[in-house]
Amino acid sequence: MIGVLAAIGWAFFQPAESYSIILMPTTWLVFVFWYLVWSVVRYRELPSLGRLLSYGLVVGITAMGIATILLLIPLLLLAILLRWKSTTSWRALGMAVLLGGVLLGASPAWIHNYFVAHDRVFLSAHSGVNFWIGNNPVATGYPKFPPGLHAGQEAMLKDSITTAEKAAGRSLKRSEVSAYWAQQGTRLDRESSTRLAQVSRSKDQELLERLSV
Amino acid sequence: MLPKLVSLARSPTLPVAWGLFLVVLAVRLFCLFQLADSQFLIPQGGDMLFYNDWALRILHGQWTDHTAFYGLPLYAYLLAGIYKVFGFSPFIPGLIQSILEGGTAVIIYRLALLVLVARPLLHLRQRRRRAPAIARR
Repeated sequence: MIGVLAAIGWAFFQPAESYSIILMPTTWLVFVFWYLVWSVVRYRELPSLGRLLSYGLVVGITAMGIATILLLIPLLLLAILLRWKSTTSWRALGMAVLLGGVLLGASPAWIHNYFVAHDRVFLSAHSGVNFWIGNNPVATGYPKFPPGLHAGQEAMLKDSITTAEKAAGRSLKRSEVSAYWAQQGTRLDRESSTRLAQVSRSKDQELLERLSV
Repeated sequence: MLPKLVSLARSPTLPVAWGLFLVVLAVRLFCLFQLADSQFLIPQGGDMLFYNDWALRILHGQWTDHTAFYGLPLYAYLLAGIYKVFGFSPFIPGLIQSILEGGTAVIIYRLALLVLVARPLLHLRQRRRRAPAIARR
C-alpha cells in the first residue's frame, strides 16, 4: 500500500511533472538514480562483474548528461564494501570494475576534450562559472545570475568566456575559463571571512523566508 | 544470484506495477498535451533553448566546436538523435520522458515493496527458522 501511495505521489509531484515534458535531462537522471538505488537494495550478494560493469557504464554515460549522478558512486562503493556479501578480493575487483565502467561510460566526453579540443577536462568546463554563481557577493543560494553575466544559459556561458578572456588579455582554453571563475569564487572565501559570512547569512535568510512561505 | 528478496516482492505485484505505470504515463501525457497546445512547446529561453539550439547545431553537422565542452553534452546529442529520427519536435522527447516517468514510478513502488514488505518478511522467516534451533539447545 505504501509503495502504491509513493508511486501515486510521484505521479502528482509537480516538479517531476514539469521536468518530464520540457527539454531538460532531469527525468533521465531521476530514472537512472532510482534504478541504481533499487539495484543496490535488491541484491544481498555481490552482483556479477558484468553487472557491476554495466552499473559503472550507466553512471558514466548519465554523467555526460547530468553529473549529479556521480554522487551515487560512493553509495555503490559502500554497497560493495558493506552490503553485498563476498570475499575481500572479489570486492576489490568489483570496485575496480565499477570505476572502470564509469570511466568507460564517460569516455566520449573526455576523449573529445583531451584529443579533439586538447584540453584536460573530464566532462565539461562549466563548473567554475557555476561555482561563481553560487559563491559571489550577491549569491542567495538560489539560481540568480551575478552582475556581469546575462540571464539564460547560452548568454551566460558566452559572457563567462568573454569576461574571463578580457581579464586575462588573451584567448583562453575552456579549462582556463573555468579556473578563472573558480578562482573568483574562492577569492571571496579567502579575502574576507566577513563577506563570506554575509553571503552565507543571506543564503540562510533566503532559505528560511522561502520555507516559511 | 537473484536472491529470495526479489522473488518475494515480484510475483503478485506485476498488474499493480503496470497499473501504476499507466496512471503516471496518463498524468504526464495530460500535461504534455496541454503544453503541446500552448505556445510554450518550442523553447524560448533558459536551459531548454540552450539544449535545443545545441541539438539543432549537431543536427546540421556541427558535431564539435573544437573546444572542451562548456555544458554537459549528452542531452544535446540525444535530442539531435531524436530529431534526426522523428523530425524536429520537442513533443517526442517529452513523450519518451513521460514513459521514463512511468518507469520511475514502478521502480519507486518496487523499492518500497523491497524495503517495507519483502525484507521484514524475510527477517521474520529467518527468525522463525532460528527459533526451534535455539529452543533445542
